[in-house]
Amino acid sequence: MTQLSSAHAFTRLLALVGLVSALAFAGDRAMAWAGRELLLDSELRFSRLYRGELPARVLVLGNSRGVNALLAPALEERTGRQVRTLTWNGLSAELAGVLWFDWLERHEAPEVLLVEVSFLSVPNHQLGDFRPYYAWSERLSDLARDQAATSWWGCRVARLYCLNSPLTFRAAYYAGRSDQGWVNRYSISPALLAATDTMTPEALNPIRDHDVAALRRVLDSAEAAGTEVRLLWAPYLPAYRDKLHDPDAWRAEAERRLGRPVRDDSRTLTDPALFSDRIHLNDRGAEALADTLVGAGFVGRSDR
Amino acid sequence: MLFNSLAFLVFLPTFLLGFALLRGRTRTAWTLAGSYVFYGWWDARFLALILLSTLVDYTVGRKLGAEEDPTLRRRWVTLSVVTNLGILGFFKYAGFFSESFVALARSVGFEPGAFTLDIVLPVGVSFYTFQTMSYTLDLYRERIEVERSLLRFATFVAFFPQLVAGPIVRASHLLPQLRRGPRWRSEDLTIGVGLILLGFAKKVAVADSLAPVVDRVFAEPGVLGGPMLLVGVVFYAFQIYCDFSGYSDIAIGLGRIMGFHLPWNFDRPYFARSFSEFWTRWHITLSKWLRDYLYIPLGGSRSGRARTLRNLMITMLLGGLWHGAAWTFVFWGALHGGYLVLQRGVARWWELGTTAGRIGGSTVGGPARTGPEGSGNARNGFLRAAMEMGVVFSLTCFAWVFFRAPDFATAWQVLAGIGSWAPGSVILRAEVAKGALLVAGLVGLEAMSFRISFGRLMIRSLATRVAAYAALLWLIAVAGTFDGGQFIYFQF
Repeated sequence: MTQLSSAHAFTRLLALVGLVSALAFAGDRAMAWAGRELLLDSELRFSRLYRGELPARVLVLGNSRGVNALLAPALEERTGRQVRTLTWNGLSAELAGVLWFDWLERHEAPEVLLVEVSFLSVPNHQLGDFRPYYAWSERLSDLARDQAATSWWGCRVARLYCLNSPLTFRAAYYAGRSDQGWVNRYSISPALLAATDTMTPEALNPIRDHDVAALRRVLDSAEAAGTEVRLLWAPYLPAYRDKLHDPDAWRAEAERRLGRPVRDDSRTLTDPALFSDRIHLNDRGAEALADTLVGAGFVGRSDR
Repeated sequence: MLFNSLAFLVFLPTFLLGFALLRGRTRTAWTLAGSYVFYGWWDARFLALILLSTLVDYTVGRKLGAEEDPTLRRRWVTLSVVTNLGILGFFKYAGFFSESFVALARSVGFEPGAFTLDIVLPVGVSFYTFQTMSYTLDLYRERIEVERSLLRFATFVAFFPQLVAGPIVRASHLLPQLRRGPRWRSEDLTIGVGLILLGFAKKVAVADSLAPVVDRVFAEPGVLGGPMLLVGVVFYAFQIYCDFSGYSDIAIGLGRIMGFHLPWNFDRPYFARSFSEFWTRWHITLSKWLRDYLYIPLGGSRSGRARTLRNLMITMLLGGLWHGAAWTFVFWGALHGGYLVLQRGVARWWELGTTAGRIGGSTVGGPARTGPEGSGNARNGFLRAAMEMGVVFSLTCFAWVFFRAPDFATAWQVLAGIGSWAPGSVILRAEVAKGALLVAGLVGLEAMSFRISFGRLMIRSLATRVAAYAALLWLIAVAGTFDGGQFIYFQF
């Protein structure tokens, strides 16, 4: 092999770096474009939202407690109404607000907006995960620029980075099949159940001003569009609820600050087999809750 | 300064520009200054320790070079060993031993006064103390020449690419290169850039993507099911491999770009078919260091079966303790020592064809096997190789549980959960899917590399290497985790 001088070596290095950078840049743009189009074709709820293909007569918002408590197919079966969910694990009310307004721009207003209110105390940690959709939503992009700057700037530098998210895997998984029935399908482990009995009491996260303001905007806009608003607080594992510091005060504060009643279902279900962990129902729990909600007329049957 | 930080992104081009423009002693001085900036970035106080180690070993080296009296030579080398092990002992192990003493005293009914030692562990201290000790020990054995230039010696000790997490470079390897100055062959730059990108891909795309799953599994093993716990343990095996070998790849790659050759530190370790082979593939420079400066001086395998087994156990126990000041690390070392001892017992029966006494590629007992290809009938050979690899990998994972767990209780909880195979919460599904894909890709590529020389392909064709390097960048963008995660081995 040829021995190189220092100048020659570093000139070669620069040339190699330049060539690699040029190809990397071009490939990044091309592949990211193709990837984004594929992602938008998925049946994942957010892809359908931004395609404008998620019409609903009942729309559900919430975080993971909403995902596992307000199961769209279970509610749809019992109400005869088209129920669709925009719930997501770790979703904050602020982020849910962005999704709601984006949804409303692309669809007719729903008859009912069903909201699980636990996300009033969730920080915007999931905002970065939504980067695959920044390109489709100015609101999302603006919020990310303010609150998830690394993620936002990362997408500017490398477009492929926008696809670097758990949502991309979800979108791939739900290519060609609906995600509306996604729910935990297992029961709480005996170990966790036993640990709950002996755990030290803990407090719920405090309600965040940003989330209250965002949810109020959502509710106001929904009511202005003629949508009925239904707020509820999903079930907790009873043994866990008993360990919470004054949970009723949390709900009362939510009611007061939202200016609307919040239905308390936090102790509606008592059988541990209906839970997947301390704070989430499972599929059977969601079915049982749907029976309760429809039976109580909280979400009415179709009159059409 | 972390390789995966914005500061390093600014530091590296600035350093390389100066390195390219300067010549001779000025270039060496620039390298030393750069290395001190790199190291001092964590905490400038750490520089005092590295300076102390440098000055002591430089002085001892000069004395050893001039002194012929064996007694005095022994005293000088003892000073070096005591100083280096003293630094290591105080900063790394003082807290551990004091806590262990208190625990022991309490267990026999004494109540010693409450005291704790809150000592900051200087980054990379385990690496550079071993590196600089190798200089005085080799001088004492008259295997290398004395280094007369303090500037050059200080640069050897603090050489920034491998300073904080290896490879552990011997004086006999790096000092001659520093004396003659950097040399570049045309393929060095290709290999250098490729290794840096590969290292970043391993660290940022694989190791850091596996980390969230591993962290959750070891944080709450009680609530997770057996399958999830097993996923966490296997992911940890690949997390630590990609984290550590990624760092080594970046270090070796930076060395190549600067015109220096650093030794390989990893060679597809999870394809090892025996534990002796594993230690010729995992952290190779540490294995060789322990072999040459501990195992062989203890007598190696020359003094009968019982002594050989004792030497193996001592070496692996101290190897475990080198990794961290906790009994879980000692137990990890004991497990690997036990595996090597056990292997010696079953090797003849199983016709492994390898010698359990080999640590770090010692020539005792013949060469290590390489790769999945077996001998004889191809199908039987493959099945046999797969079985051997499976056993070695499983037992390695078993040991990793103790290495990763914060305490024995957590480790047993993880193992009991896997053993019971009880159902439980499933977490981070998308992260698990992503991790599984990355691990499968890595294993596939490493398996292919036994048949295809990717390195040679890169060197031969410009188009191939540009495409491959761009592909690594795309992988980093699409799969990387950019939370500025530290390299695991920094804590050692």
